[in-house]
Amino acid sequence: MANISDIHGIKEDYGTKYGFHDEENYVYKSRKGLDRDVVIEISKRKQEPQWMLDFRLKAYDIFLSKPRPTWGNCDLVNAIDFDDIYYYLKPSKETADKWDQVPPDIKNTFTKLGIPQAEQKFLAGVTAQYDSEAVYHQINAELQKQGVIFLDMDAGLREYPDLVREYFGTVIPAADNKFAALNSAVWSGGSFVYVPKGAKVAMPLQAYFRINAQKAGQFERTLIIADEGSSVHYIEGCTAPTWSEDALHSAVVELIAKPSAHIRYTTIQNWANNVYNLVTKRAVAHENAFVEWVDGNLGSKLTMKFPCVYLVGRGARAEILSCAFAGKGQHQDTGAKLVFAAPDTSGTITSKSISKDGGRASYRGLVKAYPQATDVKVNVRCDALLLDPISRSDTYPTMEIDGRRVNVGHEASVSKIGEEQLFYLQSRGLSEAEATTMVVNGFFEAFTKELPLEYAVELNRLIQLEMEGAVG
Amino acid sequence: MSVAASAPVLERLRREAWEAFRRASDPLKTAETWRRMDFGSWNLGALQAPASDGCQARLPALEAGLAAKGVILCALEEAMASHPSLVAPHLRRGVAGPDFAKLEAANLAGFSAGVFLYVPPGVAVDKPIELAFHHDPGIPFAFPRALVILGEGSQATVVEGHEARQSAETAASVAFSQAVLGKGARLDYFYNQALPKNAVHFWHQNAELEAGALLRHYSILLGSHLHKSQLDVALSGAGARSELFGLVYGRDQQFFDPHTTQWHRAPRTESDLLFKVALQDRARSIYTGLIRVEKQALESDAFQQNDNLLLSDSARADTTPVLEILTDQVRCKHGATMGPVSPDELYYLGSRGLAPQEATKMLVAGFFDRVLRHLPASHQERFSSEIEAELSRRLL
Amino acid sequence: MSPAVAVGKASEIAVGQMRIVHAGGRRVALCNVEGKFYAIEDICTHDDGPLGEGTLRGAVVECPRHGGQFDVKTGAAVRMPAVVPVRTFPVRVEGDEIFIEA
Repeated sequence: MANISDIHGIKEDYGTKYGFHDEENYVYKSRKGLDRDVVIEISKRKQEPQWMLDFRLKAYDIFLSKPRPTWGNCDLVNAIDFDDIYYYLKPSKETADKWDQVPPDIKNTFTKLGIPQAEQKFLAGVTAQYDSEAVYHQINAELQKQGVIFLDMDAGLREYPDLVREYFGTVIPAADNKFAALNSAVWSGGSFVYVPKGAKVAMPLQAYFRINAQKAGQFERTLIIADEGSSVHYIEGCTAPTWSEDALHSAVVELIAKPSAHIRYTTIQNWANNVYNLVTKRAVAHENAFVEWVDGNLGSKLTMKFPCVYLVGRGARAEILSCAFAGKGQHQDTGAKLVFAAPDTSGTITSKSISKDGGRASYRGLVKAYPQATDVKVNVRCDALLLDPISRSDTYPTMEIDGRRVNVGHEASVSKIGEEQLFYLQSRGLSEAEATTMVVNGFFEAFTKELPLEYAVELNRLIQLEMEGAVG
Repeated sequence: MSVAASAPVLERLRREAWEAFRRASDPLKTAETWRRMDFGSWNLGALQAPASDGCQARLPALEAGLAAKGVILCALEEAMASHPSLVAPHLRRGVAGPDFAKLEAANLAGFSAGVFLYVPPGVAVDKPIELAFHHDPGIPFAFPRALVILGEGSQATVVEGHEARQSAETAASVAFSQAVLGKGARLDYFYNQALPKNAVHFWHQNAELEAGALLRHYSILLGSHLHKSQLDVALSGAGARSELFGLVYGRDQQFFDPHTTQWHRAPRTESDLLFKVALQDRARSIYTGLIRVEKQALESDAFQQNDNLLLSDSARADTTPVLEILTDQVRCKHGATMGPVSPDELYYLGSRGLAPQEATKMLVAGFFDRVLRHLPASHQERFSSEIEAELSRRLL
Repeated sequence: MSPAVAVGKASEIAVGQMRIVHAGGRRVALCNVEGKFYAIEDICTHDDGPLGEGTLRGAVVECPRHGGQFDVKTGAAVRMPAVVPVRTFPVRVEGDEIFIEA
């Protein structure tokens, strides 16, 4: 947890810090809208094997045949105009492995975002994706020696076609939902990670996703396979310029934790407020595996994201930590799902949300136990804080228990910010705004303390930005 | 309006309801309300003309003196004629939401044994009033209907019971009940569903509370094969309060699907809810509870707790406790638990010489105790012994 | 296990085809896998929806709603989101008549 003093004196707003954009200078930009030809063109330009093109085309048909979701914020989802989006924007000829080789304006962007600095300090590998493709990629030599694969997904498919083919789309089939189908049809970029048996990746791998173009769609696809007894921590960060027109980010993330493997997947998303963020994330945990989703959602116009773990092996464990901040004009529809399909499995879900300036934060969750899930323990805890009388908080949890000896505990609370706390802090000389920010930081502490320090500091800064103008 | 003049009003209402029923399509299987319970089980497709209602209501004689104070207890049809201004505003379609519109229309078109209770302002009725609905299993459909109106500052205790004799025939019932609480009124309401094990039962109750009113509501659900219910409590006046308690005990292949709504529409309203569900054999329950706090319901408190005890490996329970909070001036919490009888407790009781079944019975009784002990003294004994008898029958 | 009931003619279900039949109070999907017949319950264990509306490729049936897959020979769930096996029933073909025990 970063100190409160770290967040003082930072007065940039999203616009100057993240909301800037570069002149468009793409190597290739598909025409606007989506049809079969666009799908074929993407695959052709990437020189993909036939099976991937077939996969894309089948997914495209599924995308067309599936209705938009009939639950959640239907008005916003229905407002997405799929014909008014650019589906593929290739920023540079090839992926660089030195920052010097990255086109200067793009490099400048990532420097402003602090990525090269972070890489030097505490990361084992970095991928930087700019609109549709990775522009920079590097992995620590030590890891490479251990046989760890960390590539952008396109390179992963080129270099390890058999491995990709074996696992790609097995956790989240294209038919899972309309947006998973869309991603499966037009995916580009994302990360491919394979950690061999017993390998422990001590420092985190990071991917940074940046949308730059107006009306851009970003459809990255991430697949992480942690083989038996291995462990890995993957971090993703996301930002976009503040365009007047909406952008669409629709990722699919598949995690496979083999027996006794440990995957931690951390997201800090800070999209501009005109980005639709509709993401499908699912992990499968085999025997004695442990999967953690640490998911922080700031920004975006509408986020729909419910990281999920299927516990299919005896003794598997899962922890999901979800935190959301809904500001003006935003709907954070986030949550978590745990599906128990094996004995002696366990899981916890912790959700924290804050709504302010008319924002809406919804927790939507599922805990499901199938008959073969015996001796299961689950705990769910959701806390929501409302900062003003015009904001909204919802809690939509479902628990479906068909298992034997399954113990489930669920608790949720919604409250406003404690006046006593504010009063106490103000009596210690803090302004009302500072006191409120401090209480909010404390509320998110369960989340920030799970982050590497640099990210905790960054998150607190982001909260500070979101909180500006909260009072008076 | 005279008796003769009101008949056409009721006739028109029924005619329109029948037309609405015929026009209405079945609720979508994808609608959350009907996703896990098959609407087809009510077999309403078999309803080709306004059917005869297989329901009879037995009303107790009013105590001497109550009638003189203006208390009315009579058939709803009769009240429609004699007190149209009291009844007409409530006897209408659209009280239930769209997912239940078809059932509501069927009931309005077909009910013949409606019950009406009115307690005038300031009058307290001490003794419980029993509204007993007897369903005739020989007739395919029963359409019970009740309307209870409490005037400002009045008080009453009402027991709405549903019973039928055992029969090989399966009957479906579609019951609608309404409670209207004037300012500061206080109502204790029991809904006792003790239908035979092959019955298919739907029950909808809408309770509207004006300022300062208090509703204490108890659902005791032991009977029927399929049970679906929707209890909507609207806290419409400032300072209104509701306390909802539920007890569900399922066995064999009984399937319970109780929904509740605590709807805070006014400032300083309070609600509390405790639903206890125990299931054995292959019994199944889906509890769904919504707390909704509107923007204007400042400084409201809302609580909800649903506990599920699974007494067998084949029992199945779902729970969906939902919160929709549209203002910050609230305190709102919900909780849900699910699990088997604690092996530690069984072991402990076993070590004290109790046979496993005796110990289980004791633990189930203990599980229900938190609901039972909230019952008013007048009913505690009655329901406690009913549950006790049920436990003995079922577990031993 | 109930006695075998006749549920259809083998000649009416082409290779790679499925047909929904009713037996023992259940909906059963009869699948023709390279000339051999298999019977599974017509319920996707993932969400309880019908499987028979899906597609059969070799011995694998894919659910149309979320893409879960089952091996119709064994009932095993072979792709997520399906993780629970689907029920299978013994099938016997006599002449052109298909019998299942459901």
